[in-house]
Amino acid sequence: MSKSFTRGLVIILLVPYSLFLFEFVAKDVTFSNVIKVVASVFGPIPLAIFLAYIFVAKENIIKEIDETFISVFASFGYLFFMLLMSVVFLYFLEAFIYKGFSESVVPIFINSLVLMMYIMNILYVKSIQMIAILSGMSMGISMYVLFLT
Amino acid sequence: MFTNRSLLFYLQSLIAVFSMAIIGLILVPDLGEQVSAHMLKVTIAPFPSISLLIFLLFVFNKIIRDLDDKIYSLRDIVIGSVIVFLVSVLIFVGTGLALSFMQSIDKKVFLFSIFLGLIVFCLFRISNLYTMAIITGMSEGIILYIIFRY
Repeated sequence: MSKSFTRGLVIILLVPYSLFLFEFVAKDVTFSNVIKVVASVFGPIPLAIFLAYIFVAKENIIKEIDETFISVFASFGYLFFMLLMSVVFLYFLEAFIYKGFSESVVPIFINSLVLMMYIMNILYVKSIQMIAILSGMSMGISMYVLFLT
Repeated sequence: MFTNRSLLFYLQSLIAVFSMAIIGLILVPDLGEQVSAHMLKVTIAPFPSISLLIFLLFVFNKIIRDLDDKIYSLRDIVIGSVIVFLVSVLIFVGTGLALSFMQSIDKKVFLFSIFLGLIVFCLFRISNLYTMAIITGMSEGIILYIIFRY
């Protein structure tokens, strides 16, 4: 059950991500714009390599999820709560602090940072609550950029 | 021959070199004109850092390689993360200053070769957690500059 659950979450995460990557690229395709998108997609890779450098000596890197203690309602609650929180937070961020947030390349960077933490979570921590929180953050960012601006 | 940590170290230094080359040498509006105008200066620009690198390689003749598989303590991890944060903030501020003050291509080549020499020195002489943290901070700061400011 858990394997199909995580697979579905990954698909939910990746579809809006690729959608608004194309949206940013299709505005005007210049060389520096493409460089910016590539840098924001592959931006967290040095941090990921540093974390791998630190934690490479641990034994039993890939753990198993304890399937008997999954509570579906609690994890969907975490998901929707984080979705709502991230949408509200981004609304106030764009209204008061960072004006051109949804036109810039920063949401793609935050989204790929979330993906990096997701892989990190799968490899080292393996908790369902963390997966739900990260998925909620990513979905909230994507939905804010795509529909609410 | 290679341990996991040495492979990760080489990969990280490769990423740092590529990101520095992108921000300093490729994202220039008129690259061909500048190179053809300052041909002599571009040719002589890497030589100070090469000579400095050879001097440093002969002076520090002790090799510190700490790349085998062992579990770091919490204090080492915290110090490494603080180094990553400080160096990336420093590079993030310093890249803007350098690109605003140094418009011509030869000075950029000089700076690029200085950092390349630093990375090569870390590869050959001192390679442990803290130099890994320094290289991570360099590449991460440049990527953050490309994303937020460029």
